[in-house]
Amino acid sequence: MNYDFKKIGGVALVAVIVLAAFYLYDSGPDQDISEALAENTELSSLLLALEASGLMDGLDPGTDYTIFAPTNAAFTNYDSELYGGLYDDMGFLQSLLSYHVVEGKHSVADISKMGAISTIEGESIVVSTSGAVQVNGSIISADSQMECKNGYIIPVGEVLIPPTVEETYIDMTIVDAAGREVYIKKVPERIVTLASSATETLYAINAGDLLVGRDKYSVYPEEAQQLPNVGSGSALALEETLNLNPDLVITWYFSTTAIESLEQNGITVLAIGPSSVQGVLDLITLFGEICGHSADAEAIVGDMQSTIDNITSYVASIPAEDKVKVFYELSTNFKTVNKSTFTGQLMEMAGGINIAGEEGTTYPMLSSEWIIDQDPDVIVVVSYGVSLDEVKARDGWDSIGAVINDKVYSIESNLVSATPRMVLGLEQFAKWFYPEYFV
Amino acid sequence: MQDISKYYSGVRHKRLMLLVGLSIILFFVAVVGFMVGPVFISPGVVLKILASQIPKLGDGIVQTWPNTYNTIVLDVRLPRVIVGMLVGIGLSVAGCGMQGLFRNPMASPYVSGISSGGAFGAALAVNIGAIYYLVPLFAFVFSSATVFLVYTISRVRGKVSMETLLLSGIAVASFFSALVSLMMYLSAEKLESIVFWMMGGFWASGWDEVIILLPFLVLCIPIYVFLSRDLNALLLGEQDAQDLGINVEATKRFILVLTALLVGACVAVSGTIGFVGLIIPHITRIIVGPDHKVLIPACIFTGGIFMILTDIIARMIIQPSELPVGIITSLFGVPFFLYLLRRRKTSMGW
Repeated sequence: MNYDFKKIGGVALVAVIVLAAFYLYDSGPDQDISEALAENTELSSLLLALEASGLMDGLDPGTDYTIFAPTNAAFTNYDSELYGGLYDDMGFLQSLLSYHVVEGKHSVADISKMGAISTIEGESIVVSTSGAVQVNGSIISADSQMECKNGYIIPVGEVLIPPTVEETYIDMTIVDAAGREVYIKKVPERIVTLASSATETLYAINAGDLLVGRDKYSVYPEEAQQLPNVGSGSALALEETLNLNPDLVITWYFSTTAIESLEQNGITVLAIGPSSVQGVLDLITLFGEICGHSADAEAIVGDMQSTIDNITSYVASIPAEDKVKVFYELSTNFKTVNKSTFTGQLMEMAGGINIAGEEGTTYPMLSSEWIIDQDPDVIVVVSYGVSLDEVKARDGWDSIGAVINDKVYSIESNLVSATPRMVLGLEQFAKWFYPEYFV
Repeated sequence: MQDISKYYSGVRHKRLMLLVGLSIILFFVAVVGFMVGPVFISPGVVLKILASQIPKLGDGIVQTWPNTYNTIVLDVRLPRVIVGMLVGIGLSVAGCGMQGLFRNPMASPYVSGISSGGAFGAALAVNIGAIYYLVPLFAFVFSSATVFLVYTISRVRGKVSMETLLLSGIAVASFFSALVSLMMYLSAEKLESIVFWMMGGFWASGWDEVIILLPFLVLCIPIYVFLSRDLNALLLGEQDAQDLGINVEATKRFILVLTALLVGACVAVSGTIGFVGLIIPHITRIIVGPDHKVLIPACIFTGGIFMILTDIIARMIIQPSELPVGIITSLFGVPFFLYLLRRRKTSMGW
């Protein structure tokens, strides 16, 4: 037997090449994205949606795409109650699906090296690699990725929601100041506020453009006065309010009649009633979330907090016996506030000892003689109350330290109530109480 | 004849003793008014502080108490007790006059709409942002003007029927109350100072108020005493009074003018304190009988005593805070009045 080794070698080589070629051909993609989708029964909902929205036909055949493909289970879990049915709004469906499509051919391994990927919808998907590779918090894996001729299909367990949509659909349930559960689905676009504090806060977080109406007490900032006036929480012009077609009405917690009648007319009502400094800060944060202005809210709360911290840290260093005694007067003679009131808290925060702080009634009316006996170091009168001259001229008050040292001041009531301007009131108090430190 | 004169001198003696007794009670109540409050000052110190103000006598007194006690007694309590006393006197004497005039136990100094008029004047002054001392002036002018308005409305052909006067008083009062409510609604921030006028109290009373009130009382009270004969005659009915030679229409006018001045001044300094003008004349009548010759002087004392006492309660009950005294006058005065009413159903004179 004379074997022709060269022949055998040649045949073997050919065989190896052919086998190798077959092998290579086998492992290479032979389908494009639409064919691969059609074949995968797990992704039938996506295919249907892509075809219905026209997005499939809109993709450029000459371009590679990577598609994050929500599985059928993901579509089942899609919150149609929140966002509305998938096929209710084709424009919405198209932009939602566009948010799943990325130009270029990226495998899971490629993606894991990126921080964010911009989609053809315009917004980006956030990639995180802590533990498993995740896009917007949904795990993706190389095991399930499908390579196609013109890209990759990467199954995801959730429908990815564009950030702008997520911000609009806030889907919040709030227990409000009246103890009611208030569900807010979307960022409101037409707000009527029946609480001056809310009006101020909304303007402060740059959400004033969402307002379409106000109560008669909402006169700050000045722009608010341009809005239609619908009376007040206690005497609401219901028809005018309904006519403004609000999607949210914000009111004080005690305006129970207004809350009831608005609710009966199917309007979402949020009751507020911040009673502490922290309550105001929390309210600003909450309004930020509701109105999609969280960044503005955080910035303001941060500023306010640092002013507060600055004052309270100095106040903490003052020994109790060196603190100034303060008498605060409302618009009726000798009528003041105890520590449970907002003004009372601000006074205390600014290092003042409210002579009526421990009184049982919220707005106690003190005896003149007792005030003389307490001998306050500082007297602050609300600006619409009595004149400072009248205070100084009261019988027997010339023996009070505050009058002797001319420390009788007038303050605008809005600066000492539950609004973002409260820090101005706090600062003013601090300057009056400790002028040598707070200049 | 001798017996009768003896009887009357006995009555006079009894009446005199009664008035002396009431004046002693008034004095002690006033001293208690100087002593108590959120800051307790012992009677000895109170008397020394008062005495130290008297020239010569006061020189020998060594001060053993803090300076603030001087301020409290002399600048706060002294004017306050005096204002309380004067308002009590004014309201009860005016009430006495009105009840005698109307021969109606429901009559009070406020029947002719005077309190609502006063509250309206005060609310108006507060609302237009008047300087503070104009507020009592407005209160006074409007409360007095209300009386004249009501009088003018109810005068038909030179005569005033009591029923018409009462009814038009109620109507005008309602009208002014509505205006006050309207202003309270419109001026949220100033609401509190309007409420003051509606509740009444002495927490802001000082020497200025004493100076405002005193002339009115000095002028009006003696006239009431002088008019007691006419009021007595009116108890018999208008016709009989006329027959006795009383100029009924002139008396009516007189009493109304006096009420307007006296009560207007009281409302101006202390707001509208309820029930005093209604129940003090009744209580006094139960004690001394319906004769205005003794009833009016007695009302001076009982009104003063009652007002000082209720004011003491008002500033003690939740000290160092105060209650509006109007709440106390009704809360404590009314049950006491009802008790007396049940216990002694003596003749009221009508």
